[in-house]
Amino acid sequence: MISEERVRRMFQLAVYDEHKRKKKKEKKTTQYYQKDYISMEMIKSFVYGTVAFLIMIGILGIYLMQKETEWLDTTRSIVGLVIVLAILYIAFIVAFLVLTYKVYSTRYAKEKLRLKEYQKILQEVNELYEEEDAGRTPDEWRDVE
Amino acid sequence: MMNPIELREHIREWYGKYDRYLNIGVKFLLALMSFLIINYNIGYMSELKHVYVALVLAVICAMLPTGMTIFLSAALVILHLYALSTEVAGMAAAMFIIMFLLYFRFEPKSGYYVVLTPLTFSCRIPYVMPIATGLVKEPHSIISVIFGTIVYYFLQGIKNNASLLSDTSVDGEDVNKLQVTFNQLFANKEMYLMLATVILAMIVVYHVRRMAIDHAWRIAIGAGVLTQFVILTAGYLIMGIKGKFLWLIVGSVLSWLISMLLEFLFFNLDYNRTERVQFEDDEYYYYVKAVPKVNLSSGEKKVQKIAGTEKED
Repeated sequence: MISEERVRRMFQLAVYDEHKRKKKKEKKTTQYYQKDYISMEMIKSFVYGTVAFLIMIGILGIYLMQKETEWLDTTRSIVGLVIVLAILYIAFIVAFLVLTYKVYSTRYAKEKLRLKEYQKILQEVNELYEEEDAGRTPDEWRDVE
Repeated sequence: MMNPIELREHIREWYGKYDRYLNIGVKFLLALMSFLIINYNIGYMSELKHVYVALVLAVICAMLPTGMTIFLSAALVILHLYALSTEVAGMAAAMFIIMFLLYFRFEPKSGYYVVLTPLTFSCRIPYVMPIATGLVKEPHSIISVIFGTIVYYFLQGIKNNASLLSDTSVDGEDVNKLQVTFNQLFANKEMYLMLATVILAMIVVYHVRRMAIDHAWRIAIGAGVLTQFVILTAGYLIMGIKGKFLWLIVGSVLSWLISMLLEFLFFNLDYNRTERVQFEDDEYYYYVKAVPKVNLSSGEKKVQKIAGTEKED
């Protein structure tokens, strides 16, 4: 006999798996420890952010050079410029990394919650199996075998 | 006459049935529109300007994930601009790369709004975008609308200055070219006005629709349209931009209508798909097709008249 209760739960599990299969990224999430997952994303963000910053500075540099370059003729002003750029870069990258941390820790937490739910249903399915087995008559056992 | 709520349920049911094909169709149409508008407005590379190119690309986009539409649109823009001038193409490429690195790394799917926003601008109904995102999305998705707005004004500026920027002009004017390109990004007052409008409207819509009041969505839509209308009117008056009022009014009315349609389709409605999964246990294979429950019972058929003749024995 088909246990409807169990099939319903198994359906939920299958839906979860199906959705995960489609979104491969989410599947990855819970394969890592939280620490590893977030640090990996932060390293990625660091590289992305740095490249983006360099491009932005490049554009700004070309833009400024078009306008006027007179204030850029002494070494002192160049040193000043470098310091300003360094400060800007640090501020930018820190902000970007903090954002990354927030985004991905929330994502991890959400995914973990979903996984917990999944495991709960899995547990219930197992229990239902056991119940079914315990409730079988000897005749039914013979059929199964 | 069908009750509107019933009609909505029917649409939902219908969508649930054919969602696969509908999604492909929508993707195709969107990609096609995007490519055609790009070709029409900034089609500087004559080899790519063909309708067939747009058609083929759109077919490809329909089959592949949404990211492809965004990527191909960006590539098409860069190529067209490259035919116009290397500097402009470089600038556009840099712009797209920065957007990708900073935002779409987190939200790859939001990239769609960057394509949609310039499209709505071309159709004169950009006021829909902040309202739509405010209604159905989280606040941060405004960033992609902002990017879309920047892209539109940049390309519009390039189009308006195309003769200045084209490579056929004298070589000595290189410096001037870069200057013109930069001005489209940094010195475009109308763009800043539009950006401020979009952001404010989105904030207004988002907050109003979350209020615990009756008809929150409708009020949010009205507030969004009004906010944009007022800010833009004031802005145009202050900046002395003329000849935009007619389209502002028409666009606002159209945007309002479209937003109401969105409300009708999306308010409190979950487009659950029909799920098809298969799994097994020790005894059976299960092929499950789960159809979401329709909440409203459709009107019962009334028997008006019973036709037929009595048999006479």
